[in-house]
Amino acid sequence: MENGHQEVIDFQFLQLENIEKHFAEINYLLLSGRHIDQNDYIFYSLLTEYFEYWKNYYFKLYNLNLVPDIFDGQSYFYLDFGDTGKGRITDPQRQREITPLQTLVGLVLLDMYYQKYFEREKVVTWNELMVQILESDHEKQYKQILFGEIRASYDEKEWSLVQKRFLKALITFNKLGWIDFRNQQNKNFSFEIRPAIHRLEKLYKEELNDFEAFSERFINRKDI
Amino acid sequence: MSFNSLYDNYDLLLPPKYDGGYLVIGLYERINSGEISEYFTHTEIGQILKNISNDYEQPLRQWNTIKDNLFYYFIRNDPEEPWKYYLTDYAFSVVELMYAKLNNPYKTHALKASMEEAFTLEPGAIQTVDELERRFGRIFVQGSKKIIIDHLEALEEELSEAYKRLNDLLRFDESDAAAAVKEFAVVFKKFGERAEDITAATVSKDLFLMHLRQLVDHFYTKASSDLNVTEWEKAQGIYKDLRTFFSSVDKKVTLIRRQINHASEKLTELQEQFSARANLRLKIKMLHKLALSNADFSKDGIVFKNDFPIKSYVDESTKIVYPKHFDFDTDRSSEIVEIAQDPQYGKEMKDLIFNDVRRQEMAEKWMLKAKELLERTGQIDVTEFFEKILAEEVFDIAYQVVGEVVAMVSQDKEIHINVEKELSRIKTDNIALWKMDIRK
Repeated sequence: MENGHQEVIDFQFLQLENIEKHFAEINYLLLSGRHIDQNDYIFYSLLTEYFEYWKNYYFKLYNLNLVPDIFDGQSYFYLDFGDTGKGRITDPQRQREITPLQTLVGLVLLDMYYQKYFEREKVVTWNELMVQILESDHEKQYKQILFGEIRASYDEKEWSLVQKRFLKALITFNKLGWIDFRNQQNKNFSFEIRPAIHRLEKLYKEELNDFEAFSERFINRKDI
Repeated sequence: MSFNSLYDNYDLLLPPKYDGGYLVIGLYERINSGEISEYFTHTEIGQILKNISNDYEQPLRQWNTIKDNLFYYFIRNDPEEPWKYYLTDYAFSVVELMYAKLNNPYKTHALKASMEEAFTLEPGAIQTVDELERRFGRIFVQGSKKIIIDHLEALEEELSEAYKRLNDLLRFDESDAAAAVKEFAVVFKKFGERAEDITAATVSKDLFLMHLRQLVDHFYTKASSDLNVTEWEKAQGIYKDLRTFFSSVDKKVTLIRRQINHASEKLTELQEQFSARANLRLKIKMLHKLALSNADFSKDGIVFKNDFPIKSYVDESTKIVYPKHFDFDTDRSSEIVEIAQDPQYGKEMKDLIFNDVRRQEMAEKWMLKAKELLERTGQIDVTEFFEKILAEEVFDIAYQVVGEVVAMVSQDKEIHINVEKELSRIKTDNIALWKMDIRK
């Protein structure tokens, strides 16, 4: 591989015993959007060790970037669309949108991650999340978008529907590796916010970089 | 003493600052330091009043005007030397209470230590209910309970003080930032220690309650063999009393914990003032706010309006399936056999279906007629009705309709079917019916 720029990285690594053994799972997890950090230790270490090979594999065969990212001193891997826009990935079958509720919950969790900055494990309980959302300055707005109207109280059926939706969003985050359920059986279940939650911030990187211009767009739009 | 008289004497019990309050404290301090004797004179009182007036820039109060406030409860005349006065025990205890509040001795003690000193139960250490009563009975634990409560109060005070300091630090100028952060770290360390102490205390309390429970269970087992439940009831009473006490302790502890958490959040805020993260976090908060104001309710969940950007992630959901057995010889193409139409069969089937549909329609028509007849005349002569149908329709229809009519009316209690076992022959066909009369 020393003959000039002709560095060839092939798919030989797939034949390594360790890779053969775990390839199916790693491939499945990455392709379904998971952010793999040290919690999935074996997968994480295989990705670290053969990073260049994996990267080549996904780029050549899927036109996807395998991104090594680091946040709060902890690293993780995930697949992202190529830099050249979405290219072949415009097929809706190959991507999934983050729903508005997921976006909002994600932003709350991201903020909670910062709040718990001094704690080693950012463990959040369901009640804590509800307090954060419904007893914040945004209480009225949340009530409006969750229930359709602002009232002093809501009945059990309305609550359980809202909770079901939140839980669904959290289950998706768990699948993505953004959070890690600790105790899902309990009514007041708990989960740990993983550093990969930072990906949400990255997804809104452009908007955050020039936030003023971005928010002005909405102010103008409202006037129309 | 009734509550009303408590209200009446309130002023006397707690004199206002300059109308005797400070004087009592001043006397207490000087007696304690040995500056004046336990039995003091009018001159000494005058001197203290003068000092108070100077120190607090207040007009000088005259002893004669405030002595009514103090006499009896706080200050009394010495019976031996009536020109001398002394502070009552009550005055001492009031000042000492205030002093204890300020310099709570528990501030330097760990809650866990107090908890363990007062409430420890080694398995096997107590054999009889009387022993249990002596150690943990309602009267005997008053003191221990008070220690824990005082301890918690001290903790609360200490935290609220530290919390105040945290808030003060938040108002620091940025130039003092470095020093402020350092100071903050010290304050915060206290919170951390307290939180640890509370956790340890809770664990030790839980352990104690568990042992007590086991002891109560032991008495229960004993009671069931002795048939004497009084011992168990006593033990159970002690357990309940302590459990109630500890649940109130738990509530206080929760409050304290909440305060610690809150302070922890404040620390984060402060830390952020001096780090690049603050800006980012602020932006995320703003993004959150913007996303919220562009979100709308819909039946199926929240939606974004105004084209608020929605992001996507890779989701190919590829599944790799490993077939357990794979048969390599199955590669055969299947042939599709096209079957030609058979017009005659088609027509036959169509006729069959058509006739069946018509038969059902006719039957329905006659059913309606039967109902209408019953409504109008209140009576149906079945044989006659049967013949009437037969005159127009085939036998099958007539038979079906009559069958259904009988079935329908037999469900209705208001309609009576009168069946006489007398056969009446149907003219056209080779059958006979029993004479049936339906009446409403």
